[in-house]
Amino acid sequence: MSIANRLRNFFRKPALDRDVDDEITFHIDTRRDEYIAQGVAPAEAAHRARKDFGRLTQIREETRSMNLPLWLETLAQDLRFGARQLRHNPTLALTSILTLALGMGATTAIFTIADAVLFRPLPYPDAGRLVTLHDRFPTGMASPTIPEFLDYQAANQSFEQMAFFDSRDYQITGSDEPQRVFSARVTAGFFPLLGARPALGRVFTEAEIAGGNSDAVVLSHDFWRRAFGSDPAVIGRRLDLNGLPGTVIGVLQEGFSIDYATVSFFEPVNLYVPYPMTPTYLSRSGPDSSRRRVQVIARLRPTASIESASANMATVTDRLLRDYPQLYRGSKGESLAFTALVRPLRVSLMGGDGVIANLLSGAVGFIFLLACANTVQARLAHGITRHREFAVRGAIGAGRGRLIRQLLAESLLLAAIAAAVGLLVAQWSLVLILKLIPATPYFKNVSLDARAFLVMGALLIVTTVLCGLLPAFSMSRAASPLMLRTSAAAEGIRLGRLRGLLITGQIALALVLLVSAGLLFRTLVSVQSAVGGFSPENVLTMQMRMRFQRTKGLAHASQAWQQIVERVAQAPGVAAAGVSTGLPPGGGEFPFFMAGSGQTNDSASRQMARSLFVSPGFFTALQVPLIAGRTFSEADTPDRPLVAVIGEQMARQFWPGENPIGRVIGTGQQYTIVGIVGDFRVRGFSEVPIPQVYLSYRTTTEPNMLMLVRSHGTADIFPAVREAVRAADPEQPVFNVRSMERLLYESVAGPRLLAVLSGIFAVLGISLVTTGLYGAISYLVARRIPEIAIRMALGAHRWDVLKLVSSRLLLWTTIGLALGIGASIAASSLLRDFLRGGIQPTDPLTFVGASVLFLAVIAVAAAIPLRRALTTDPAAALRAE
Amino acid sequence: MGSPKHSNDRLQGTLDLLILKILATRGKLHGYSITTHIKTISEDTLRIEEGSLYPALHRMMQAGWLKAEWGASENNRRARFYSITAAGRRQLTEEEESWARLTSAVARVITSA
Repeated sequence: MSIANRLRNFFRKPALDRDVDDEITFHIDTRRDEYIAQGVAPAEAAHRARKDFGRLTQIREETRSMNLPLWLETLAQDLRFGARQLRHNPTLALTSILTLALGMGATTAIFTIADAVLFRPLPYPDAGRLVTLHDRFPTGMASPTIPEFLDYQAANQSFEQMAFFDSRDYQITGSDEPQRVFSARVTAGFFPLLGARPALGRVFTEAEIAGGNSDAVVLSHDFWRRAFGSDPAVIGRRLDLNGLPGTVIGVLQEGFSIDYATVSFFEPVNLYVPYPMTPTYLSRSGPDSSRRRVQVIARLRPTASIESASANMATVTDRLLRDYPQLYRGSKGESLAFTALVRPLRVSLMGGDGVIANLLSGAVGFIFLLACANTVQARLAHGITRHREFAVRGAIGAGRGRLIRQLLAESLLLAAIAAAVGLLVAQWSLVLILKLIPATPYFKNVSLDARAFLVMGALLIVTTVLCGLLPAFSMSRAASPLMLRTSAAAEGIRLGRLRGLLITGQIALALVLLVSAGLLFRTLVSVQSAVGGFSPENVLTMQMRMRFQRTKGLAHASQAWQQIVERVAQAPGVAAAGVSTGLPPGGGEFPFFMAGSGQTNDSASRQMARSLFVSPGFFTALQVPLIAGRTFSEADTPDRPLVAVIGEQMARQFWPGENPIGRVIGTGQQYTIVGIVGDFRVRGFSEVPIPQVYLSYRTTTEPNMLMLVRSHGTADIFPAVREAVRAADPEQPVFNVRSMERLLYESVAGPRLLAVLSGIFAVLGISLVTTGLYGAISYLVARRIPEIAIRMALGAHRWDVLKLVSSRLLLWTTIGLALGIGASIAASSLLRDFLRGGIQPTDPLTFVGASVLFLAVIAVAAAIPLRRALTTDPAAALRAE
Repeated sequence: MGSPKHSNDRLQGTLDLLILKILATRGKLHGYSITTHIKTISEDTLRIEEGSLYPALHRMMQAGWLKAEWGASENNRRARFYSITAAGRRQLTEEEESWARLTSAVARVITSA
């Protein structure tokens, strides 16, 4: 009541001041009248009355101040006192502030990142109603086929709008330099659904899509600026897209993009074309009918929910299963029951990022707790030196609540300074993290915004309470008059238990961080060390996409590639050059079915190999060793008998102890094996060696090729290569030019990022635990120096002393490690999806390694204070006491 | 120290005690008549600076021991009248006991020294 009173008074201060004035005036006037009644002259009476009253101004101020919020005054007083305490012990204050600033700053930065991934609205109007639509098979999720989409759309009662899209490479030719542009093919609903408006011109109409033969093109704002210099007259401009005409009808508004790899936009989309609704795509039969190539997005009606939409769409899948049973059969002829799955667009866009954001938040939460625990430790240790201060203050009448308030005010001051420094830490960390992580659109405008400040505010409160309340309750016990008599040492023993608990918890938390980082590092190492069998030095890689010429046939494509490769191989500085449809394992390979090869084997997996189409120069460019037979030659043209080169694993697996050369393989086309090459891998993600078949590049119509060029030395050979390609085909663009080393480096970008981030957390965690432990043990030893001195003076052996001081440390460590290992097992199972290269979540090497490393760190942290204990000079120590 | 208890401040405690006691026995009074009462009862022994009464009154009011209301004085002027609350009566009992303890302790010291 009293506080509420004072707060109310705070807001009606002027009225209150008038009241006080009136009251005092009344008093003085009454006294003056009294004097006058006694016969004193009026002037003299007024003078005496004022004199009797006393120091008028001072009393008036004092009276007024009594009505103002007392706690404000007390708080200011407490803060002043707190500041004095911090200045008293600048080392303690500085370490605490820096530790807390680190914890709070890192937490704010990570929460800002996680917020962008998990919570901030996507940059589309009313994005909460945007969903993606999938087919859910027992084996997993897939995108609907285009005929399925049309059925879904016909039955739709839940969505305002539905659309689908996919990505595609185009080449723009006709200008000076042929250019490859990453593009999207979209239906009419795509732009309105996502709320994208044209900055210039217009977007596609329903008629343009339905016609299936529109040449309309919409440019992204960015591409318009880059390729057309923001030319406002671009509308109506003719472009040559893959040899077909295109007309620019619009430029999208600035900033619009949905360039997420999770929806197959691996690169920024430069231009949009209408989805060609040709019979090939619309047919339920034929070679393309089962291709699940498109992504489906939709906007829920305001009245519809994810559940109701799923139910609505599921009616379609039931009908499809009934009407086309032959379309939905597994490899063994079993019926594939599938159902429709509707989920928020955000979930589809963030993919694994959501899990990573949560894991990082968890990790940074640990760091924050460790930082708080360290600060609590330091304040507890410091509190023992203030034991007497509190006992005295308690004895002269300060209540326990009063002392707790004082300590909370001190921790508020500490936390507030730490929060200010922490904002700087957050800013730096954020810049660093944004440099490390891939530039996905939701990170585009991430900065320390109002929400980050809110997080920091919340951390400030949590820190104040965590770092204030625990020591406060513990220390304010000193305020009991009884405590004046007990010594600081006795109080220290009681606090020791609390400190032990803190240290145990810290060890457990930090071990979890260390084990997680260990697992992710082992993954990185495993993935990287599995790479080998070829020589990546001096190899330049680049991508090429043959102009759209399937209609022109295999012979044409095959000749075009041959001309390019031959020209490049003869370019100055080039040692060898080859093309390939990809790199093993898992990059652009095609399944190769072995059944019908004359080999009878039941295991389905053993029937399968992976194939790549390569040119003769491929093996020389990568220096893959030839084990037996020969590789391809330019004589292996499509009109000659088809030949294959196989990897060693293939030979071992299918023809153990036999010579595979001369054997014929393949289910449709028959290939004769002419040679065996060494196995090599550019990625280490899969543990099992995969049987590899190489076929001649002249037998494929695949338009995407990777070119590999080995140079003689370190000089940049790209200009010469570019010139050679141009000489072979002036309209052939070359893109994604990288050294082989760069390609290898980028291929493990994901695992490396996780390893680095978790490594940073582990290092932070260990440093916090080390400093915490060092402080705790130093304190433990310092407090026991007199006891040690007496024991040594009485003839105790050094070993006994060591046992005395380290027994508690051993206890803390053992419990902490045990708890930590348990927590790590739980935590590492969350990491399962990010572990590759055969590393298991319970990888024993990591667990043992982390524990040993931890013990070593604890030993180092303990060594200096323990040494001090052992070298105690009993005489000197006792004199000091 | 700022806390309303001030149990360690004897002088202030005494003033509180006097004010509470007077209001408990005389009912509603304004500041001026409280001063007069203190003077009369103590036969002018306790000479306090009259003004120092007001911070004390306001402090005790915020502590919830007193309540105040505006009314007309004997000479028909606007004056503020104070009266004691239930919390004030409890505080008075406490102060009286502690006062008794102190005086008897002091008395013992004086007679035995």
